[in-house]
Amino acid sequence: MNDAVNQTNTETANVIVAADDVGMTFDGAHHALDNVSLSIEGGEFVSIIGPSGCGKSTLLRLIAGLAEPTAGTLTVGGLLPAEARRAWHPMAFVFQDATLLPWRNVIDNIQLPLELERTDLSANRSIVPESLKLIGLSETDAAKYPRMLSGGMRMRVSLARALVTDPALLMLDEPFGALDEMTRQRLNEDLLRIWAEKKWTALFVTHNVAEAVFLSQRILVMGTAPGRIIADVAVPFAYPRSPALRAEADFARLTGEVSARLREASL
Amino acid sequence: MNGLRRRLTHDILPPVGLFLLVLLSWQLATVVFQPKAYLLPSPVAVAEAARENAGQLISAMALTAAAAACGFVASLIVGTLIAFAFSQSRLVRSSCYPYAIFLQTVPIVAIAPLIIIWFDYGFQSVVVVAFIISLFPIIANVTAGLILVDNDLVDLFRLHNASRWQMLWKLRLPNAVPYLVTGAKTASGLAVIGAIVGEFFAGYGAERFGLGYLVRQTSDQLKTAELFAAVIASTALGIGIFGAVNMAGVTILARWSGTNNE
Repeated sequence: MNDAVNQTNTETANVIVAADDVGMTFDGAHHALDNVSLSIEGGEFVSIIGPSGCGKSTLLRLIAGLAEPTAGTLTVGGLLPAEARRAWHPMAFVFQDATLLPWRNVIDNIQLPLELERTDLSANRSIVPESLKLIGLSETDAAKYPRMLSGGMRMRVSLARALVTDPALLMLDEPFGALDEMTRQRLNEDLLRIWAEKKWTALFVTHNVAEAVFLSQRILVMGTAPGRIIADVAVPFAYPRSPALRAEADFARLTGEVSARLREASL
Repeated sequence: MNGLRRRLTHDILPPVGLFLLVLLSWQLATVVFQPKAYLLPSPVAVAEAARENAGQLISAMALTAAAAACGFVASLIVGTLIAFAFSQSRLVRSSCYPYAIFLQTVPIVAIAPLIIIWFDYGFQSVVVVAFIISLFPIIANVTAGLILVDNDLVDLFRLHNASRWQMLWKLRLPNAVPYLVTGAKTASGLAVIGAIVGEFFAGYGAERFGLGYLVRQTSDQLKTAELFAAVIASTALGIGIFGAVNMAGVTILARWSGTNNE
């Protein structure tokens, strides 16, 4: 991770994701991303917010090494993302849909990343039950198949699957967008509780301003055509954050402020 | 109990009622208009013909069923292997797929004589016809199942550094299971048709014959009541094989997505 420090001019010693003038062009014409520079420290909770089509999901995919930028440099822990992913198995991704395998029950779905990474399960027998407990699923849920679960439960399983590898960097691409407001809020609170405990770095893409404000230390606001970062807003509220925070005047003020930035971005 | 009664009144009674109504009108029509027996035999005459030739009909059905089943199993195995090859390379797929469509579009009646030239008269030719006609739905469905995998799932596997083998074994193959079931249902019905068409042309020789041969023979001799009986037996065989495959499919799919473990 020390290489990352040399490659970027940030003064902090703990940069995990560093992007410098990153651009992404599809088919040589469509500019999905342009001149994106950012630096994210280990353990930070950062939300990325923007109108649809601003390339926020593309940015996440680039950081995950699932696609390569067409311009600029992007490093994760000082390595190219695809290399980083192979070198220290640190990344996990939560998709917009739960994307569970319908032919596997809950426990086998959660176990999947360990199988793919060829982790010795016999030596880590407790990992799977622990991540199950962490996300608030019972032993009886473990044997169920995805089709028997509600949308919220499925998303919990998807989260547990992402956490089972004990990631250093967790990327979430609008994970709670399809859920009702109550379920979304409860999952937000659980997510923060686990983050406080495990201290991974979180990159959270959403288009819900209140969600971004509630969760993160920092909000990156993106604009469209081409996709770029137009604002970097610090969120000053202390952790642990309680659900009551959502009712406070400061919370409403900041939410309004970010919403205004977002409106500018959509113009 | 209430559910059973509902099922009975909603799903079972109406088609059975219609069937009886049609039979009754048919019988009445033959009594009133007195058509010649070789043009339209009465249902009673058909039933009589079926009863008189019951032994013959049953042995013919068994033989046709055996040929259709062999052709169907062969297309399950070969079709899955071809689909597997198609899924591995875009080049293989794009160069071979148009010719696979040939299997579906070529009139089986036109190539049946060719098959007899190559495989000679007998059981093997009937199986080959059943196999050819039922192959395409397996190829098409299984290929789709192996290829049409949720992009996010592919990304998930890549993110966790899955090997090509893991991608196939843990993602693509299980994903193709429901597609295989769909393809098998279509293929099973087609295999029965193929076997009957095959028998129409190939037959099995003097002492043994299947439903296709029976259909041809009775129509040549204008034994229309016997012809009707043979056609009804063919239909029953098709329904029987389709029903069996359908039930197997339901069982497999229930296991696949865990409905059994509730």
